[in-house]
Amino acid sequence: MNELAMQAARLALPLVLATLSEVVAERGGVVNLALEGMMLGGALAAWMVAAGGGGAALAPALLAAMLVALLVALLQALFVVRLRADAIVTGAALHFACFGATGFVFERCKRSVGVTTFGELGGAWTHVPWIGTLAIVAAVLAFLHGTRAGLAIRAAGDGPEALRAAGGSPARARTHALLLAGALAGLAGASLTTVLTGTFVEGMTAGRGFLALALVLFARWNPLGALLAGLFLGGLFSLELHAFTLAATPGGAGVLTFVLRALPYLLCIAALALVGGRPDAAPRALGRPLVDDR
Amino acid sequence: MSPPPALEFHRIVKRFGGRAALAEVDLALRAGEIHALLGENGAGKTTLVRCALGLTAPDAGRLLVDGRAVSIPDPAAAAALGIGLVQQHFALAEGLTVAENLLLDRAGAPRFFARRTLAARARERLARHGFELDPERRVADLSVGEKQRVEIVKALEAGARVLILDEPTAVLAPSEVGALLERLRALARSGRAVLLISHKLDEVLTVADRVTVLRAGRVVLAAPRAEIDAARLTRALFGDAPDDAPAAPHEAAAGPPVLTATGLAGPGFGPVDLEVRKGECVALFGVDGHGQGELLETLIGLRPARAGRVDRPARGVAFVSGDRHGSGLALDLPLAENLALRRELLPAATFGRAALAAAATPRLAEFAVQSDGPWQVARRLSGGNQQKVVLARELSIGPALVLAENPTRGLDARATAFVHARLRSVAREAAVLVATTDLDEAVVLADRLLVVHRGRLHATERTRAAAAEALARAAASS
Amino acid sequence: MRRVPRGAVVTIAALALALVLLALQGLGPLDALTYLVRGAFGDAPALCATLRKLVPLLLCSAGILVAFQAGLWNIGAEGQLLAGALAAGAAGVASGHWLPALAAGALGGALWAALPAALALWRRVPEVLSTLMLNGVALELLRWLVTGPLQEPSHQFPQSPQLPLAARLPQVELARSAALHLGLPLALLATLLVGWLLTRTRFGLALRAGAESPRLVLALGLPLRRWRFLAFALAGALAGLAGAVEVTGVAGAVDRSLASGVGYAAIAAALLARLAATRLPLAALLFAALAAGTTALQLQENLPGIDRFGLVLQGLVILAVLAGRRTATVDAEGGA
Repeated sequence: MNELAMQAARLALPLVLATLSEVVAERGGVVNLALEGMMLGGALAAWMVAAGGGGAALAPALLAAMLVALLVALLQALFVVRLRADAIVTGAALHFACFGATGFVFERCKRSVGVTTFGELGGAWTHVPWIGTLAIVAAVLAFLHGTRAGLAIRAAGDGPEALRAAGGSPARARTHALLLAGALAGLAGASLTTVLTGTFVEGMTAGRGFLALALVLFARWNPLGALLAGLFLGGLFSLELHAFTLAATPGGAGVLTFVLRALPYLLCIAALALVGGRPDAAPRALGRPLVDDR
Repeated sequence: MSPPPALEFHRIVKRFGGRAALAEVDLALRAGEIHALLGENGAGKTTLVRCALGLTAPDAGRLLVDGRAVSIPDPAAAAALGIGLVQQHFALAEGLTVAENLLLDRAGAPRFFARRTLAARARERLARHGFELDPERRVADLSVGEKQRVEIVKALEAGARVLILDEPTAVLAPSEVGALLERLRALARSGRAVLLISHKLDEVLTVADRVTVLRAGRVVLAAPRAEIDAARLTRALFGDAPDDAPAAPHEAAAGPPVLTATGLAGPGFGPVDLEVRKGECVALFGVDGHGQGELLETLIGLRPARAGRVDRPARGVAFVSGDRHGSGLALDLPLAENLALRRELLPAATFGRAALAAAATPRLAEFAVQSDGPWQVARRLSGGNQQKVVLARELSIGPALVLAENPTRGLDARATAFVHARLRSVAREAAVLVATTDLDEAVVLADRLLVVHRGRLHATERTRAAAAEALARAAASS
Repeated sequence: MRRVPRGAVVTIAALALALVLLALQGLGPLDALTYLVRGAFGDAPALCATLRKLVPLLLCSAGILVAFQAGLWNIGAEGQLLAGALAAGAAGVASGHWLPALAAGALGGALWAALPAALALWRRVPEVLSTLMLNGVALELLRWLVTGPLQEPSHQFPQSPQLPLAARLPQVELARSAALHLGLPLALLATLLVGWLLTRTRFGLALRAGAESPRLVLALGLPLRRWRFLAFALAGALAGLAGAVEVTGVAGAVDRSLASGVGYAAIAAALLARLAATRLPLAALLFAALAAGTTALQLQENLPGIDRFGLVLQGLVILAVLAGRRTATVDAEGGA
C-alpha cells in the first residue's frame, strides 16, 4: 500500500506542475494549448543536459528545461498578446511545432543513454522533487496573492479594464503570466525525465498537458487545487499500473487498463458537463483578447 | 468674496464634422454643491464631461480649475487636477476582492503584501470616506450599489475634489437609489464638488443644489434648485415649441388587431397590455433600460414570457433592429447573403449565385442602398446604408407586423428621414410597433404614443410636451 | 501594387524557414527540395502515395471547415476519425462489404462528435476541451479494442482481423505499386458538398451568420441551435468517414497506425485554406505532399526524424497564417 502511495506521488508530480502552470496562464487570461509541447521541450532539454552528467547535471538540466519552455512561451506571448492572434490556434500550432521538433531532435541525437533520476541518486535527493514541488506551489500561491505582479496577473485575467484604468498594462501582465507558466511547464516536463523514467521517449507526455487543461477547472484556478487535482490523478494512474500487473487474463487487464486510462478524460468531460460551462471561479476575461492593449 | 468654482466650463465649443456638439456652454461646479446636468441622449452631456476628463479637447472656450485656466490633455492630467469620474460601466475586476481592487489603483502600492494587512488598510480607507464594506468580499458577490461604492472610493482615493457621476442610478435597484443620493449629499458637505449627470427628474429634484439643462449642445436652463420644478425642467428638456401640434394621423381607420399582448410580464417589464392594429403605428418612448428591449424580445418570440400571452401572426413578422452588430446584420457576410437569410425573399432552400444576386439587387435598389453591388461585405457599408439593408430585408417581405427597436440609432438626418418615411409607408398596410429612446422619432412616427417607465406603459398624446409630462408623472409616482 | 495571394506568401515563408533549419542539419536546401518534390510527385507510386495521404486529410478538414465556419471549435477530428475507423472495421468484418463499413464509419464519427456538440450547445461546455478529451478516450479505446475484443484471431498482432476482399475499397491500378482507391473521389465530393452547403443553402448562410450574430438568426425564426448541432455532427461524420476510408482502402484492418495525427494536420490545412472550400484541396495537397515527401526523404537520405519535420512545418504554417492575418484585420477595421 505504501508503495502504491509513493508511486502515486511520483506519478502525480508532472501533473501537479503542469496544472499549476495552466493555473497561472489562465489566471492571466490565456488558455495555453501549447502546454503539452512546452513539457515535451522541457523533458527533452533536461534529458539532453543530464545525460552523462549524473547527479551534478540535474540542476543545469532543470534550468535548461525551463529555458526551452520559456522560449516557446515567449513565442506564444508574441502571437497571443502582441498580435492578438487566437490563443487556441496559436497553442495548437506551437504544439505541432514542439512535438515535431522534439521528435526530430531526439531522432538525430538518439543514444540510449539513461539519466540518473533523483530517486536513483538516493539519500536526501529522493525527496528533493517533492519538497521542491511543494515549495513551488506555495511560492506561486504567495506570488499570485501577495505581490503586486501577481495581482496584476489576476487582474489581467479577470478585469483588464480595471487594471488599465489603474494605469497598469494588461498586456505586460499577460506576458508575465505566460512566461511563468512556461517555466513551470518546463519543470513539469523535466520531472518526467528526471524523476519518473530517466529516459526520453518521443511523445512521452502522453496527453498529460491536455489533461492539465481540464484539471484546472477542478482546481478552481487555485495553486492548492492544482496540488490536489494532480495528486488525485496520480493516484488514478498508479492504480492503473497496479491493475495491469495484477490482472490475470489478458482480456481482463485490457478492459481495466482502458477504463483507468480513459478515466481521467471521461471524468473531465463528466465534470465539465455537470459544471456546465463557465463556473464562477473562472477568470472573467479568460480567452478574451485584449482590446486596445498597451 | 466666495472662492472660485472648483471646476468651470467657460464658453466651451466642440464640433464633430459639421455638427456643433457643444455651442458655448457655461457651467460652474462649486465645492459643497451638487450640480445636476440634464439632457436627452445626444444633448452633449457626455461630450462636455469628456473635455473635463482629458478624453477630448474643446475647439474653443476654457476650462478653469479653482479659477485658473488649465489644459487637460489626457486622463492622467485630469486625475492630477483632482477630477474624478464614476462611470456607468464599472472598471472592476470581479474575481478579486474589494481590497485588491483598491490596491490596483494605488500608484505607490507595496510590492509585497499580506492579506490581512491589505484588508485592514482597505477597511481604514473605506471608513475614511464614510463607507462600510467588508474589503475581503469578492467584487462579484457585491450588489450593484456596493460595487458603485467601491468605484466612488477609488475616485476619492485618487484625490478627486470634483466628482463626476454619469447616470449613477441607471444601474441601481430602486432600493439603493436613496442610499446613493444620501452619500452624494455627504460628499458635497465634505467640501467636494459633485456633478450629477442624469435624466431622471425625480432624483435631480431631490438632491441637486443647482441644475443645468442641455439641449442640442446649448444651455437652455441654468438655475438653483429653488427656482425650478418638474414642469419647468421637462419644458426645458423637451422644448415647448408652440407649433407642437400632432402630425396628421393616417386617414385609413385602423383595421383588425395584429399584435395583442395581455398581462405580459418578463424580466424588467410588465404586466403589459398592448394592442397594435393593422394600419397604425404605435410608438413606445422611454429611457434606455426600462424594459423596452426585453418587452420587444418577448413580443417577437426570442424570449419566453414569465406571465401573460402574446398573439402575433405566424408569418410575416419583421424585426428592424438598430443594433447593426448583433441583431441587424451579419456584418461579415455579403449583402446578397444577408438578404437571403429571410425565407420570404428567396423561398428555395438552395440557390445559386445568380439567384442570390437576382433576389438582392432589386431590393437594394428599391431601398437606395449605396454599395458596390450585392456581393459587397456588409461591414464595409456606412451605418446609414447598413440600416437600409436591414429595412430592405425586413420590409420587402410585405410584413403584417413590423417591430422596430431604435431603428435610426447612430444615423444622420438624411438616413433617419429615409427610415422614417419607409416605416410610415409600410404602416399603411401593416401593424407597426416602434420602441425608441428618441422622443422626436416617437412623435414623428406615432399614430399612438405610449411612454415606458420601469416596464409599464402609459398612454399619452402625440406631442413632445405631453410625452415628457407623462414620463415625469410616471417617474414621480413610482 | 498587385495583391499576392496571401496563402502563397505564408507557405513560402514557412517553407523557407524549414529549409533553413534543414540546412543546419547538413542537408542542402536544394537537395532537400528535390527529394521532397520527388518523394511527393516524382513518379506514379509517389503521386499515389501523396494522393493516398490526401484523402483522410481532405475529408477531415472539410468537416473542420464546416464546424469552424459555424463558430464551433471542433478539434476532435482525430478522435472522430478513430471512432469511425473502429466502427468501419467492425462493420466491415461483420458485413463483408465496404459500403456498410463506410456508412458505419460516418455514423461512428458523427456520434463521437454528437456528445461534445450537445454539451457545447445545451450546456455551454467549451467544445475545445470536450473534443480534446474525447480524442484521448478514442485513442485508449483503439488501443484496447485492437488488443482485446477486436483483435485478430491469432492474437499475435495488435490489430483487427483483416477485412475480406469485398470489404476493401475498390481501387484502380495506374502502374505497378501505384493504386488509387475510391476514397479520392469521395473526398473531392465531400469538399464540393461542404462548399455548396456553406454558400448555396440557407443552412450554410445561417451557420455563418450565426457564428457572429446569433441573435439575428434567431430573430429571423431559423432553428440555429439545431443546425449548429447538425454541422458539428457532419464534421464528425466526415472525420469518421476518413477513418473508414483508411481502414477499407489503405490498411485493410484496424491498427494503431491509424492514430497518425491526421486529425490535427487537418486543422492546419483548414486554416491555411482560410476556411474556404475552394482553397481546401490545394492546402490539403500541400500537407499531404509534405508528408509523403518527408517520408521518402527519410528513407532516401537516411535522415532519421525528417518526417517529424512535417509536424514542425504544420505549426510554422499556422503561425504564419496568424501573423499574416493580423494585417488583414487592420484592413477590415479601416473600412468600418
